[in-house]
Amino acid sequence: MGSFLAITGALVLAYFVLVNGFQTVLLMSSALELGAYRRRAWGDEPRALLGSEVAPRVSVLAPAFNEQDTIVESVRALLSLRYPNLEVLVVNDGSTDATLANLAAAFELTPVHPIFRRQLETEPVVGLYRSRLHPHLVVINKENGGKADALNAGLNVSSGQLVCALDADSLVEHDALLRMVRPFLADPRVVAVGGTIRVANEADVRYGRVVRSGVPRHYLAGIQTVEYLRAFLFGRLGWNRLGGNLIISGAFGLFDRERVLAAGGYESSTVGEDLELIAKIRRLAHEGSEPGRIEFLPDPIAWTEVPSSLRSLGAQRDRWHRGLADVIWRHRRTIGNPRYGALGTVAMPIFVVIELLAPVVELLGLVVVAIALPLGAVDTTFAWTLLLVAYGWAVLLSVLALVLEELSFRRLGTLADRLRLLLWALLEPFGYRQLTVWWRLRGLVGWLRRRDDWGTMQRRGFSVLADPGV
Amino acid sequence: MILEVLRLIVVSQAVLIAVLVVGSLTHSFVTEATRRRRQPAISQATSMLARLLSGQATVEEAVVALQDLPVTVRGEVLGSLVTTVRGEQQHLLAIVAASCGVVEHAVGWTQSRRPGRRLRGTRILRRVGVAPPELTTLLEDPWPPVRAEASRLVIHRTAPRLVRQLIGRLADPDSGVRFAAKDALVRCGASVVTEVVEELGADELTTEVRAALLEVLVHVADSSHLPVARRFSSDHDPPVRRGAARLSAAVGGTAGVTVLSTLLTDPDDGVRAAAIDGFGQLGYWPAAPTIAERLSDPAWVVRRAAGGALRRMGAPGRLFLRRALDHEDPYARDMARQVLDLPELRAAG
Repeated sequence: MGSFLAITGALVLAYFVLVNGFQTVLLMSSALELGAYRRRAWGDEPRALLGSEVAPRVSVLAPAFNEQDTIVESVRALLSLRYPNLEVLVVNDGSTDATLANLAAAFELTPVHPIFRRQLETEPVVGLYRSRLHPHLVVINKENGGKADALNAGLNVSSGQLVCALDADSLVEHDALLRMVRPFLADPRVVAVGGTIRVANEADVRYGRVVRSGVPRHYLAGIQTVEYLRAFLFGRLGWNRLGGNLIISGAFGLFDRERVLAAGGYESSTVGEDLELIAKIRRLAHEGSEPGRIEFLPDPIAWTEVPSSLRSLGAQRDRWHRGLADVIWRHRRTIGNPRYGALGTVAMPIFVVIELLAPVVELLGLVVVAIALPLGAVDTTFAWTLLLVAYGWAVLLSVLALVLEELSFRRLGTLADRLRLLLWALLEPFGYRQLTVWWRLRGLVGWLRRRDDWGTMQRRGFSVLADPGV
Repeated sequence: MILEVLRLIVVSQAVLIAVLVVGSLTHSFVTEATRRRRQPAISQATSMLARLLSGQATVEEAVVALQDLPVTVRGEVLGSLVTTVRGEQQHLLAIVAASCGVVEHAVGWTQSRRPGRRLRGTRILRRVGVAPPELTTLLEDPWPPVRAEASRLVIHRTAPRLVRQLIGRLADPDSGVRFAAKDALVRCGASVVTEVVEELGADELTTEVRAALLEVLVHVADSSHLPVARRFSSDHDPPVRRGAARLSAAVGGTAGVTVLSTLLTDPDDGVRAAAIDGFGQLGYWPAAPTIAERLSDPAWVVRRAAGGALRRMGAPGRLFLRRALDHEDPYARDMARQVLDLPELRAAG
């Protein structure tokens, strides 16, 4: 028993060093990337692209299912995006409520019949409509097939060289597309660009635009604000220099349409369709010697409402982990395979060891400590000191993310907001972290049992300010 | 020993966290205080520049109002107004930028050894809309972002030599620079046409450059460019012939239609589709029978273009689409059915 505990403890300790070592590398990579990005972006005006007649056409794809209460406001926000050559495609995925009727009434939809090629198989499209008020708004009405299927229908109909996949309930900053398109113009190898997602639970919204971004007072939403900041500002940014990202959030990403179509579009049979698409594009790029560069940019921002109940959050994390496991399994032959370059030798192994297996190792660590302490198999002082190191490191990473934010984009609101964020960073390792371990373990078991449900997400809605002129 | 190391790590972490938190909060406080301190001077300068543009203040008064601000902030204040005005007013702001030291400062930066600083200098010049004599050097800068930014600056000074240099940037190894150059040429419009037509005559141009130059002419759409369209309609590169088709459609007229007709049987799908699109764009209904034949083209893009063009031609086009419903070729029948079969507004409303 003693030797078993000793070996397990040593393994957990080695894992701890490996994870923290990698995070340090990621942090340094992110700081370098952010510095270079800021140097290039100094004084740049994304608006300069606005009058361009040669800018690539962008089709925004917004799938919607039973969103009768929010759809009109969401679409108004999408229509106010600044871009010179924009098409907005809302895909009504067989809603059973008044989503389509509300759209028809608000935007004076009229039936149209653009000729498009059905390059991706989807559930049948029932009708296509164009707005009389906003000619660049097209609504696709189709039978229900899920988010991936709706995005694929949008891809079939879209006419842009670039497609932007969005959640209909995300609030995208007005100049975000102007920023996101730049990597495509600068490097023909770029096939997808991801932007930052930020938490808008405490934000004030006017005309579909976040006018004040506060840090949530609610425990769960507040901690997720720290988590998102850390994940996007140094997690994904750091990956730009370490072989490219494997994740572009389904809530906000811009893609080369031809490459997505060549990859077969979104996969309907997985709950991690956004991750799966990137893995597939990158894998096919290596197999066919085609372009496959994935970029992440820190300043195009989309705001989203994060779950504020344990039930919704648990369902989300459970689904994310099932999606991760599923995608890694689908693309398992790339793991450690030098043929797939950085995807096979860096990204996939790291995702397996540090993302997929993390909850298992963390649980193992907790069990070992729980058994070893009463048995006296581990020195109490040593255990507590190690715990303090782990805690200190977790807080240090969060604080470094806050510092990077302060030195770069400064979008954290008031001094009170910054202090509140610091408080959430200090509290995150207590309770919240253990809960995420549990949810991710549940997801892993769910994947083994082939569960493929999406769970439910209860939203409270944004705090919408009245028109000051009224 | 290990315990000692761990303790040392804990202490270091605590110190580092404290330093970072205090440093971050101090930075936040200082930045905010500076912003607040400058705000009245920025408002005053902006208001003075607005008065200058409406003829209620002199250049000297505007320069005095800007003097209290750091030079980069002066550039920002001027830049925020430059994009909203044109002509004489833009010229006035350029004089202010030169008089208050912004241009001199920016030009100094463009001569720096550090690429980041050269980029900053060029960006300030673009923001205030001043193209200095050093622009020639900036267009050849070793760092692509500087060349791209300099390309955008040419809009403010379309001297033939600079335009030729800008056209040269269409063959830049960096795609961001190529895009910036093409965008700038299109924005320059008619003022660069002479150089564009001259350059098109050069033999050593690549396909990409030639197609980009034709696109510039498409946006100007002048009937005097028809000989260019005719000449390049028989080029050996399909992207160039596509450009010629678009130029013919943009120019129009009997001669334009003649060029388009020759391209309807081009071996390249994209060229045929562009020619058919051109007929649709012109609404040239006498071509409907010829275009209807293309409904059975082997390429989907051509069939789609034919369907769309016939629809745009109105009644004659629809007549040919109806006839195509009985076409022996199933693809022609399918395309005609798709174009004619307008769905009804079902669940909506």
